Formats: sequence, structure tokens, C-alpha cells
Amino acid sequence: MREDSTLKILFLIVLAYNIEVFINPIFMNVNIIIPFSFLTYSYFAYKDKNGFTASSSFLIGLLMDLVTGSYIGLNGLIYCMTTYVINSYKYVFRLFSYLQISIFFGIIASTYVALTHLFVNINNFSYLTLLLTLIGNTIFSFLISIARVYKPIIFKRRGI
Amino acid sequence: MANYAPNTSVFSYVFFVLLSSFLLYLDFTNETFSKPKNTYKTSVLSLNYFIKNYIFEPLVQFPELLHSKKNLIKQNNDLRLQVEKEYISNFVLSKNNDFFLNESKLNALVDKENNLNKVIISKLIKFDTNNYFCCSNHRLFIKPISDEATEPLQSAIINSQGLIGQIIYDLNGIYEVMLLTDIKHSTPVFSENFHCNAKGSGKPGIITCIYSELIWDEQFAIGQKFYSSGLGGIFPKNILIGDILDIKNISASEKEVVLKLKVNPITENLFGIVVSS
Repeated sequence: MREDSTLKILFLIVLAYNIEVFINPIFMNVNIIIPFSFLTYSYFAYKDKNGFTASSSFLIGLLMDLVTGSYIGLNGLIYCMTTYVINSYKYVFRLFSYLQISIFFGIIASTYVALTHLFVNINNFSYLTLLLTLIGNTIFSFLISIARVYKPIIFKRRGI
Repeated sequence: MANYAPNTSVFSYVFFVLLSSFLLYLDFTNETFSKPKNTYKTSVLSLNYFIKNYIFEPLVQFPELLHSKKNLIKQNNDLRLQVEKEYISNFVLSKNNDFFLNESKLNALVDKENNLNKVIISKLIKFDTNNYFCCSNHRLFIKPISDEATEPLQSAIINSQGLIGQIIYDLNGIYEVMLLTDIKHSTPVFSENFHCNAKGSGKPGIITCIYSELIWDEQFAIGQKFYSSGLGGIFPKNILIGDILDIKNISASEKEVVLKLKVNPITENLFGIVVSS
């Protein structure tokens, strides 16, 4: 049994995609792409105790192919591979620090951007964009992870 | 005893990875799934249009209606629409010497009382700016405000600044427009005696022309203007497309002329479908 319902996960991934559509044109000015929808999916795959099955990751990927309008199978393929990697390292993650996990998410996010750009943006494929995307996503993931740790302290201090 | 990571059966992953790769291959090479994708797009766009126009806007305007500003708002909207229509109309008239390929069609245009008869004013429904800035697919979706175009496919699309693209799909009254900068798009352009098909670069506002120095040995200058040639019969001729931004050597005999488009498709919400039939 999954902790979060599939519908909730799907809704949040699609919501993240819609946020991505508005925010990424701004980040593109500095050659950074943050795939919020993919990061949201990766977060749920990481968070789930039993990990996502291959079939569910494939189906979520197909849905994202439809939503994003990319080639059918592209997200399915990447989501399947990502899920396998995340599931394989599920217990190893317990030994990792927040920074190491953030670097891992930065790497898979930039791999996602690289693979999608191979199909949808091959003429303007840029290693600079990939490098900055790796750094940007690592920082973004790290900020999210430390926000989770430090938020209660801030609230406690303010008495909220 | 060691704990095995859950859901890591290699067989199922290999199966789904192969299946995804197969689907990807079919879609990438033959566009096999264009029909279901178009059906999905149509339903989402129609739903968005319905919610925005029949649910969201009336709700937003409801408090204003209570304050008896209904007529004022309507008048304001009508005037704004009219001004944007006039911009497009003026653009058509300013190019009236060469806008239509056939002289009789131009005369028919000028004789008509309403100059917009040959240009169907359409409203922007959706523009994926994320794709426009990041990737090679530069598309937008428009819907005619009043009349439906009878044969909309391949029709040229303009805004008040110039040409922006052409219609590639009719999604039940909502038209998908491929912009000039889309990687799959090709625009016949010319400058003086030089003609070429300028391909979309996938970058916003940039199209490129590749030519062989063995065939064309004259030099281009940065800033030199390029116009639509009208070849192929889709785009009107002599419309300013853009000017030369850069000239690159791509091989010993081939050069690439980088053109910066004059038109920016993200600045306006109204477009004109040029119907020359």
C-alpha cells in the first residue's frame, strides 16, 4: 500500500509541470532548467517506502508525455530508469547526508534535461546549460531539504 | 540477513524500458501518436477555453456588474479589440502593393468595404512559452473570434508587426500554429537576388539560411534585410522578415546566415489568419 494516493501524486506532478511552464522561461535567461514535474516525481519515488513499480512509473511517464506534448515514450523511458536507480539505492540513501542526496537529485535532474533535449532540442544542445542545470538543481534540492529541517526551528523561535 | 531493495526486479524494468523505447521510436520517426495527442490537446484547450470564458470571466466580472459598470467594461473591451484589429488591418493595408500574390485578389480586397474580410482575427488560446524558450517546438494555439476559416490549414498567420507562422492543425476550430522559428519550419525568403528557405533554429527570434559559396559568391552585410519571397504560395511576398544578425562558416564551402526576426510572437494576444482563397 502506497503512503500517498496515486491521484494525489499525479495531481502534484501535473501542478508542478504547470508551475514549471511559468517559471522556467525566467530561469532560461541564466541557462538553468529546473524540471519541477520530474523532481516532484523523483521525490515521491524516493519517499515511498516500497518504491514505485516499473509499471506505475511507465504509466505516469506516459501521462506526462501527453501533458507536456513531448514524444510518447520519452518520459516513460526516463521515469522507468530513474525509478530503478532510486529503488536500487533506497537503503543506501539512509547513509547519505542532505547534501549528498541533493547532489544525487541534481544529477538525475540534469540527466533528465540532457535526455529530453536530445530529442526535443538537439540543434541547441548546450553543455553549459547542462552544467548550470546540475548546479541549479543541486542548490534547489539542497534549499528544499534544509528548509524542511530549519522551518520548524524558525517557527518555534517565533512561537508560531 | 541483508535487506533487498524493493521493486528492483530487472526484468520488469527492462520490459518497460524496451516498450518505452519502441513507442518513442514510432513517435519520433513516424509521428504515429499524433492523433491521440491532438485529441488530448483539443479536449484540454476546449476545456480551458470553456472554463475561462464561461465560468472564470463571468465570476470575475460579477462584482463589477453589481456596481453598474457592465457597459463601461464592455465598451472598454470592445475598443481594445477594435484597436488591435485595426493594427492588423493597417499592417495588411500598408503592404497592399504586394500582399496577395494574385492581382485580382488584391483588387477584391481593396474594393471590399471591410478590409478584414481577407484576414480572420483570432485570439490566443495557449502559448507554451516554456517550450518556446527552451526547446525546438515553437507552437501556439489560436481561435477565430467571429468567422471560422473555411480552409485554414497552411494559412499564414500575422500580428500587427508581421508574419509569425502558419497553421498546421485544425483541432475542431482551434488552430495550431507553427512559428517561423520552429525547427521543422521553412520560410522562403529573399534579399536582392538571393533566395533561400530559411529554417527555424529552435531559438526564439532566430531563423537561418544555409548557402554554398560555390553557387552564391556575393557578400552579405550584417543588418541586411530579408523579405518573404512568396514562393510556395503560403506566405504573402515582400513582407519584411528580419535582418542579418551573424554570418557563420559551417564548412569550407558552406555558410550560414543567421536572421533576427522582426516579429516577436509573445507581445500580442490577437493574430490574423491570412485567407487568400
